[in-house]
Amino acid sequence: MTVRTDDLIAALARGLTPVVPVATVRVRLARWTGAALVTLAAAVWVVGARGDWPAAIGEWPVQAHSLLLVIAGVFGALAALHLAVPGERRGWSQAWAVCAALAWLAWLGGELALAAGTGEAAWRVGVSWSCAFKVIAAGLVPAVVLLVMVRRSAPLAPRAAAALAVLSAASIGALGAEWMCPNTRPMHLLVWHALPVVAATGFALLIGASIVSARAAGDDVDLSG
Amino acid sequence: MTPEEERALGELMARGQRGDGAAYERLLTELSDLTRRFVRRRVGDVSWAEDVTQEALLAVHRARHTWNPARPFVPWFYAVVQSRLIDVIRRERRVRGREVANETALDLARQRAAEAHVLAAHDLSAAIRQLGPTQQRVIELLKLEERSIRDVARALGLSEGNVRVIAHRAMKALQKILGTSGDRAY
Repeated sequence: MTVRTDDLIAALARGLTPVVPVATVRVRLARWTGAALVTLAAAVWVVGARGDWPAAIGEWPVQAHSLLLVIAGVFGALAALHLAVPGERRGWSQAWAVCAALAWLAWLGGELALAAGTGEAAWRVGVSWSCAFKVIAAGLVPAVVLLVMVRRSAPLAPRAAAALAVLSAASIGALGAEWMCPNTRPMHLLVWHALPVVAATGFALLIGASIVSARAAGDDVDLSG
Repeated sequence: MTPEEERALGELMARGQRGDGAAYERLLTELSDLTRRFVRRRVGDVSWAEDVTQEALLAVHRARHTWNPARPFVPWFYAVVQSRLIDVIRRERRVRGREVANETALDLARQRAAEAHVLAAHDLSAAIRQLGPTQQRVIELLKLEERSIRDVARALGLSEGNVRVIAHRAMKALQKILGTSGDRAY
């Protein structure tokens, strides 16, 4: 840098504008959870719940999937919001989110391994873009809301924050798809429910930093004196 | 830093968040000193310490809305500084890596040029040795020793016109030898 530090300080103080401190992580998590629940309910209402809905929710595999996806969703959002505020980084929230998502994938893998013992039909997978669409339908609004929240803060690790935000929202999307899709075949769940979550998270790892680390408008520093 | 000093910094930041420029200037001045000390403690006296200081001040400015006045200010501030320090260290490593790579490439290019020069000289000597004795002598005197045609003619007891013809034929022969026997491009 060629600017003198004293000049920089004077310029920053001269152009100072009042700011409203962002709400605490807990408050923002509560807001995001509310938005995610409303979106989830709206998506299930618009697209329609699976035909076996009342009975399906009582089945323990659906309950296990749902629980793991809720944990990945909520802790992913919490971790992304933690990463967006300097000094708030919490390893445990990241660990919970990632472990829950991996446990969900492992669970589906285990179901596939069990099903594979019953015949080759378990490996067959049809085309079901509608399920990928359901993941997006239920996860898009939570993703946008969370990315905006992260972007409006100051993520010091933008790549990780964006990836966790998208993992969180995509998990909510997969939860919605689970409640809308009656197909319980493990191969279908892995390809059309889980793969979109993995792909979206990977994509966020690649380009998410540029989305969430954009500087807040009007914060350019005038050094002209 | 004493708890009172930490509280004082927090108070200045809170006033800065409300738009108090004087308090904010005082805060940034104090923070610049703290940042310099932090950098010195972590990485010693480095030429880019002031870069970290300025980047930290800018980051504090851009992130000032994320500090919650109900929470301690110093951990928030050091998280920002730590992150800027890591970024600058990474950048410096990249720059130094590029400089080393550029130096290495330059050394390699120099070495290759020197090798090519030696090889070219070696090929030329071999080609000259394939010429007839008079052609060899004319080329040596005219091209290698850079003597004039008159001098060469006098030294070899030939007419100037004869030297010109011998030199022309010798150059043609050299071109042919180097063009057909060598596969290097000079």
